[in-house]
Amino acid sequence: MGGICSRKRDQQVLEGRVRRGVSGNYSKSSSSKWLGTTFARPNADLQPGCSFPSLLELCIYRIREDISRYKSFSMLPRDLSQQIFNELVISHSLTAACLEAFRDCALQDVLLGEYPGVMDSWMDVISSQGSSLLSVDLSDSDVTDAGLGLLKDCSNLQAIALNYCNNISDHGLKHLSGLTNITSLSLKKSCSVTAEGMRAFSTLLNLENLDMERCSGIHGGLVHLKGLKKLESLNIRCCKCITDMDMKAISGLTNLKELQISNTNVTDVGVSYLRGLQKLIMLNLEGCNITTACLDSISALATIAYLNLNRCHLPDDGCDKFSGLKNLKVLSLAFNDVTDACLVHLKGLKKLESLNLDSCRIGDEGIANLAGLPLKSLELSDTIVGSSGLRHLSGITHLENLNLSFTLVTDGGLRKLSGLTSLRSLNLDARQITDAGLTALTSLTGLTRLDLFGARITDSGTNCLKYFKNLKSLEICGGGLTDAGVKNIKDLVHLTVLNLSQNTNLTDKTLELISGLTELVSLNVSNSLITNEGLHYLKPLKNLRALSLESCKGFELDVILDVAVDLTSRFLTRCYGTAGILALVNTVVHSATYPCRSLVGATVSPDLTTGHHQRGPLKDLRSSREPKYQIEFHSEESPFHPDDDQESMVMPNKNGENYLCFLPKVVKAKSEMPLTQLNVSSLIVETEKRVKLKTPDELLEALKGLCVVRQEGWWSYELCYQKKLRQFHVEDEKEKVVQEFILGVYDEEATAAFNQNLSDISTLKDPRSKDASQRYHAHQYTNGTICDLTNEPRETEVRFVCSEPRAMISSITELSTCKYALTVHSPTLCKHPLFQEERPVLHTINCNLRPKDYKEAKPDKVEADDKQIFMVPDIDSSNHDSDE
Amino acid sequence: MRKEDTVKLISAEGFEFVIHKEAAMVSQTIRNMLTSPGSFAETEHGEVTFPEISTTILEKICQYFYWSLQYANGKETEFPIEPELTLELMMAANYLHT
Repeated sequence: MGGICSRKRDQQVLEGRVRRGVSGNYSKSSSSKWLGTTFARPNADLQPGCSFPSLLELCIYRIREDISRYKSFSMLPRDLSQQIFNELVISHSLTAACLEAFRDCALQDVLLGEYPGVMDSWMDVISSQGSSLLSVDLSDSDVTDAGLGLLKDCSNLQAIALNYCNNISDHGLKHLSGLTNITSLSLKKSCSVTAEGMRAFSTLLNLENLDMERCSGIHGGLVHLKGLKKLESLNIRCCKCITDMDMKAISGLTNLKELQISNTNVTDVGVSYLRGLQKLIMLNLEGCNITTACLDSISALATIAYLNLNRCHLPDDGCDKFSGLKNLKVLSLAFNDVTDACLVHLKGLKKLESLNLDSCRIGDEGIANLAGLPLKSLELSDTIVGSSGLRHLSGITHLENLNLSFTLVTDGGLRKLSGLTSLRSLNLDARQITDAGLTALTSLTGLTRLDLFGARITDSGTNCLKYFKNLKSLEICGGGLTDAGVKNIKDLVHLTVLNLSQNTNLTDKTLELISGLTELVSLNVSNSLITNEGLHYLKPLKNLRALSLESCKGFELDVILDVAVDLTSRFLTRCYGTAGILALVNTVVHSATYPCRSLVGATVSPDLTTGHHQRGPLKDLRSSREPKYQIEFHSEESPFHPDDDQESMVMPNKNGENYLCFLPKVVKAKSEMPLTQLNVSSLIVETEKRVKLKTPDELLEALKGLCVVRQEGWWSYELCYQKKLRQFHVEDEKEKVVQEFILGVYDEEATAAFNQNLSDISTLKDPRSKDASQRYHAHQYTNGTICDLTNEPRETEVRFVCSEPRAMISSITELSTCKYALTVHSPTLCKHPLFQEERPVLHTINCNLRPKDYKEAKPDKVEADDKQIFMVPDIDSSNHDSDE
Repeated sequence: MRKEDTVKLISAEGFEFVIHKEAAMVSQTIRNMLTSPGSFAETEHGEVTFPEISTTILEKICQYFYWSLQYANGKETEFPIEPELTLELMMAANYLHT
């Protein structure tokens, strides 16, 4: 599997689980999800179907538009200031300056997880909420131990999330020990937290949920949880340091209902310590080094209902013990070595509602054992189940969700599914499925999701689609569809997600046909013949938030933006200011895909591409904060003078005045970045003037022994300073390297030779922008994995540039085949005077007021209002006074 | 308009706004007052007094009622809110569930 066929599978196993009955946002603890993230932000998105905005909403949007007017909200009832606060966070309009207005507002929830710019200086206002404050999310912020200390007096805090806070250590956690009302604490990937820091938890007697996923140094720390008799949920997934001994430490936590220890070093011995957890409902052991012997211990857990044993290399031997797990509702056995023989032992699990057998060696005979189970969800993807196996499913009439992608099932077999009228979601992504197969399924009128991604569906097959009136999501990407077939899609009025990519013959007519599908949120027509003209048909699709046009030729930026702006104008005016536009600009420039909700400078973030299939892992988005943009408005008298080739677009501001805005030239990657060598001699003279100046290499010493990693799509890049640079892909859950290329090994000689010519410093210059040049110090890495194309070993030039706040890989570029350039940010290098001057650039969008339109727009204001976008620049507000 | 189709909203200063019942019902709070069983003064006389809402704000609220009806019928214009009114209007909107 690869290319377009490789998909991220949904591994969500826990649905409809018991939620603890806490009201308010603070109950949204990540640890209660199988695949947790940080706190969900309160969501103020427009619900399609809501007929008009409430006055309260309108007031909030109005306040957001000129937030700088407001000095304090403390006179408002707290639920109202809370709503304003939430709106500012959602629209990414909250800044350190306007945060001040929320001092002493008695806010209950301050959820700033992954919000840009949060640091210690914000903590004063946050802590001023005092005893009102119930939940705080500071995930992925720069808050340090000192900042955390300010929360000490917020004595009613119930939920704290500090995920990915690199600056928080054991010392900071001490401040939490007095917050005894905490019920939920989340510290994902807090690498500096150790067993010692966890000592502070021993006083948190009300703690119910603790999430320490990916904390690499907590071995031995779980003993401090011993007295926490209310602890219900513990997540220590992917903590490699966790061993059997740690399981012994939690063996007395008899209130535990949920335990996640996947991808740790726990073995059968460790699992045996869990026997006493008589309330345990959920156990996640994915990727642990266990055998079927541990099923004995698990059988002792009478209440166990959710069990994840994915990727444990379990064989058939010992599977007989599954028959004892009578209360199992959800069982995940994906990616194990089990075969049909194992399924025999599942026969008696009379409560089993969900079974995941993805990529197991399950065939038709095994399926026979499932016939009597009350299954609602069955995952058979990548098994060897064929058509004859399906007859065993025909009796499972409650089945709602069936995945048969990449199985051997053929058209003939699908007839056996025709009685499964409870089916809501069906995945038939397999090349051998054709129109004939679809014809057999017309009785499944309840389907809301149908995935025919790779199936060879042609226009005639689409005639069957009229039976699936309830479809909300449809994917037909086998290449056989033309505009004629799309005629049958236009009546599926409930569609919110439509993927017709790879159908290379689709034209603008397709967009005309689907222009009535007003509930569409996500549309993918990549790899088609659709042009500029067609895009105008999308204007009625008021709910559209993601449009993918990859590999479609000949789009003009203006047209896409025009449609985008038109489509989303209402959305934009209501939900975002500058951030929305910048995201559009940025995304359009990079990939011709525009999601509508985004962070400043973010390219695509997962919640944006609602229902959009990601064809590769898109995990670490924290790097997507860069580049940063700002808008500068220029008056008629002193307009901005663009370069000849700068792209531009017209954007009206809220008064209907049109601005012509010039996009910065930030086309990165692929385009080679030729380096202009600095005037070497002058540099030498300059350096010699300073006595005892540390050389760049000496400054970089700080990186010795360190490795920095960057994930970019499928690949991760790891640079170990003066050692090795590698490119690899890790399998998600297991964190196992499945593909690896060495891009070079540190070559001292080559580095010395290179730097001899250049006096240690080179300049990276992007010719497309006069600002984007940066000095760097280079190291040469050679002799990597042999490149198939050149038959030469791969090699890389590693370029260190001065950049705060921490060492990180900022980009990787292929200069020529298998020759790479890797740019690394290094804060220590900034101590060098020659690097100091070079600060990372803030890209500027320059907007000139258009004098002509200005005059035209005034008298005809109503029309301008329809398309308005509010531009609220961070710095300059002089260009649009709020009074109309 | 017939008297039974209208409702009178009275501001803190005693100003009276006579508007269509349909418009006033946009507010969940007013709807409850006018439709709750039993013979409340509001139900009987079609009159509601808001001792906490100033005339300026109540006028704005009445404008909003009519604007929202138009909006729901497809006339999607912008509802202008003067910045100096936002906070007071917000509190009133909150009280009126609108």
